[in-house]
Amino acid sequence: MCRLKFALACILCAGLFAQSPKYGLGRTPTPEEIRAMDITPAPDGTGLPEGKKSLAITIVLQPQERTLTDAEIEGFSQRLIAQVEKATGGQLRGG
Amino acid sequence: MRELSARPGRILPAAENHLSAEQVAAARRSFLAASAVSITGLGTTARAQNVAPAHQQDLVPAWTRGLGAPVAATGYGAPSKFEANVQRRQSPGLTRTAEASVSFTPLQNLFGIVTPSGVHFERHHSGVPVIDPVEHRLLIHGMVDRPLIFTMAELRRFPSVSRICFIECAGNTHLSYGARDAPTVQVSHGLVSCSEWSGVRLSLLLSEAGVQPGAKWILAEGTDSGKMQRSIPLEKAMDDIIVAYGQNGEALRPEQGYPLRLVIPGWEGNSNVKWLRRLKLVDQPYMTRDETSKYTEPMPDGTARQFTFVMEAKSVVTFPSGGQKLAGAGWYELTGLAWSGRGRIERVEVSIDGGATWQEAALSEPRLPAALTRFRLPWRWDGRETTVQSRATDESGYVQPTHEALIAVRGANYEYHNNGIRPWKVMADGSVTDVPA
Repeated sequence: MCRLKFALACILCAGLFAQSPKYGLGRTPTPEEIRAMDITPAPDGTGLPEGKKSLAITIVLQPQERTLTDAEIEGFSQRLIAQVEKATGGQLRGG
Repeated sequence: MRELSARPGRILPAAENHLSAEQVAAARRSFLAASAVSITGLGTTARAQNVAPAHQQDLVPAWTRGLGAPVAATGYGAPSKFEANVQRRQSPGLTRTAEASVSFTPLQNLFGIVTPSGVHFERHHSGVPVIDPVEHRLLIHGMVDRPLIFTMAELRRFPSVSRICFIECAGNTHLSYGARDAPTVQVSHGLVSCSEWSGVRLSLLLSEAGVQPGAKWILAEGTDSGKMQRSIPLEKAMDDIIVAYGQNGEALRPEQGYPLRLVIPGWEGNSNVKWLRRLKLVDQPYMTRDETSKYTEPMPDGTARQFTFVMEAKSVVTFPSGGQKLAGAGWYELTGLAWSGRGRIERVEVSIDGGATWQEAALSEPRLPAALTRFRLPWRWDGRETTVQSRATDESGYVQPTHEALIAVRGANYEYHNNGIRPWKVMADGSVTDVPA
């Protein structure tokens, strides 16, 4: 019997020592360069659109009678995502 | 008591895991019939028994009668073709895609403590990217006085450091593996490898950027398509983290993060972010996928252990280990590996009688902090069924627990950070098998 785990990341509505450089290597990145890479929202939602929050959850499927087929797993996955969207207005994170 | 042979013990090299049932059956038949077979991963009986090979009747083998290959026949050397069985191996069915998967180091085939780069274990979340080092950049930003962006050439101009240390996946010895896979030490413990890593101290780069008061964590991010991210406490960064570009004397292998990765001595492999593109100084852990949904451990009381970075003391006997076969009673060198994220290995005890008695194994030098340590014990197998196992103690005084002791604390559902003692059963016919947990 297989045991499956799902990981979902979705966006939900939610209510030292200053030193001088010694070697002078590297350069100052442009704001555009930083923006292009600075993709991760903070736990308090900073970096997400106003009023949004990011949540990652794991779901365990553990069938007792037989191993699930890929089609069944995919179907379950789609129903789960649809249910999250319907119940919370959350969206699956991409990219 | 059975009479012991005066000859040295003979070993049939491991019947590697994942041979087909037919291959395994053929190997057994050939062993019993003492006829030579050629199966990858199995020595021929003639070789194992040290009888004169038929082709050497004149005692001058073919390789002595003429010239060998010229120098530089290959610009980058490869192992002997007779070592073709020394391979990383996947565990079929373990993961649903080949890109987000793992391959295991063949610990049973290795000597000393350094893992050849070509068989370093792999754990990728979105495949191995092909990265042009000229185009690659490392960005340091967030709570710093001076955000900086570096080329690889600039990083190599900083004072460098080299250090031998292990990297172990937090999921090594994952409890669900045993039910699905051939029980070999490669699959049970092969998500640990040890290399000499070279690069720049992260603390040096941080002092160049100027860490601001209030910064307590670093968000490290890879440039693979999954953009693997982990939050790392600033204290560890100021201690011994390396921003590494070198592995065992050459550039990192693509599978190990080429051209740049973090090496965090003694901490779980997942936090050693590969294909490193960004370090953001922040005031709190960012609760990324790989520190919430993954790499956390549910406890019996309903809470979850999180940020369990340190890999605790662990050891395993690599010979004799599951899938191998002893060709007869006599002397062998029992050997294995021990390691601890808390420092040096202080002591390894070995039991060759099912845990009734323990004796101290010899530890080979070098014995380095947060590095694999080789242990050895001369062992005369009397030809009877027995169980062998090892127990490591590190310099902090921590003693490797039994599997039962771990379950008593963490419950039966834990998956990561399994450092319990691992027994192997030696059968009277010389075959070595897993002992079901």
